[in-house]
Amino acid sequence: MQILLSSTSSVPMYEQIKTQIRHAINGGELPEGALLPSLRQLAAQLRVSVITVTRAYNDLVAEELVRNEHGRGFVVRAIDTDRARDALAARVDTATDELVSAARAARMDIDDIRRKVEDAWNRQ
Amino acid sequence: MEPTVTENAVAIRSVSKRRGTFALRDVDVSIPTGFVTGLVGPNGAGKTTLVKAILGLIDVDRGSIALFGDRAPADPETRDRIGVVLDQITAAPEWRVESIGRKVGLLYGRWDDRRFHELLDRFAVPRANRIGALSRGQTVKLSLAMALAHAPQLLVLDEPSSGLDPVARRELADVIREFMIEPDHTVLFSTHITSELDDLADHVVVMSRGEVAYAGVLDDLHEQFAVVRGAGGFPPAALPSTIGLRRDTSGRWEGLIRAEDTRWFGPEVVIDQASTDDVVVHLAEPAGTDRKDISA
Repeated sequence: MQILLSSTSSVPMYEQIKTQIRHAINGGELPEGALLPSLRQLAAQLRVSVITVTRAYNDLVAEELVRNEHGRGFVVRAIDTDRARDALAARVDTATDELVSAARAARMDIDDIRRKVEDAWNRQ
Repeated sequence: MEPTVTENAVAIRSVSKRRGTFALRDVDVSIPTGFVTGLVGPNGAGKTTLVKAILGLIDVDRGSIALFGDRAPADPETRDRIGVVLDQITAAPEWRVESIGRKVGLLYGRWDDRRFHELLDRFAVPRANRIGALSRGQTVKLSLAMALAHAPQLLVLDEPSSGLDPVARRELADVIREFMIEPDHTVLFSTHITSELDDLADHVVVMSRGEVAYAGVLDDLHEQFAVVRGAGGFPPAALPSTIGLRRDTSGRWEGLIRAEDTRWFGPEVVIDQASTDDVVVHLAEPAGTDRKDISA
């Protein structure tokens, strides 16, 4: 897993770290039982403070994606399929909201949107 | 002997110290083990006096300083566990770099001369040179090599980066981060270039006129304080909660507030998250002051 941080992004560093690890877990790159890099090693590698990585890891623990095993480190948990499905569905909701506001701004109606969605569906 | 790990590498309790016209007043602050703590404040705020007291280089008038749980600063065993980078090197200018191990190494219980030479190579400090002939950057790197060569648990750096170019500053930050991989290691880093602490320091202690004005997590400082800017009338009700209000001749003003005090201000002002510099600049002024000394 490679984490790349943007120092000019408005997204805080811990959030960027969290998002990229979450993607690696949900995408299967970090399977169940995989050990996250030691937080101090990762802080030195990414050139961020220890507390920044700690914050990202603690959030991932709160999201139940990893657990902190004493003496071992942070370990990836089994993906809860219901949770994963909910997360994916939430992404569709967000994208739908964006689609509707963009369409309204462009003065399109619901039939225009339907046509565009169908075209995209058939294309992908 | 396996050193014990305590929650705080340094615990400073109600410390006061008078030095001429300057005084540290009732300083109460801890430097947590396992983290990098930045010590910031304007010149004359008391950073160096505090660092010297922690290192046992000066005695305090009142209060106490304990290191690693229960150790006094001047205790030789305490000194063995601390690596120090001060603005001046503790070696004579006519000594050659390579001979330092034989001279200074004797002062430490566990000087590792091989490690010292590895560090000299890594930092590209010429071994055959006399110390007096080194550049400012090389001198800092030599100090750092000396500080790390006796495997300290606590690294104390007092303004290490003044006079360093950006490449050397980055190397210094990398060395600190590498040092922090060990969970029982601690760094205290005093600087007046607050941007250096970004992405390096976990905690920050802001000194102002001999007192601790803020101590806590660096990220929290940015969340807890805001800078408010406006033009014309300043809301009088907001004055008591505004820190270091400054006005210029055109009627524009700027002050530091705690995030919860934004309610005093209407939509005609601009409120931004405070940078570390904003906090240092405004905390240098007492609360409720109204200075008219800045130009636009």
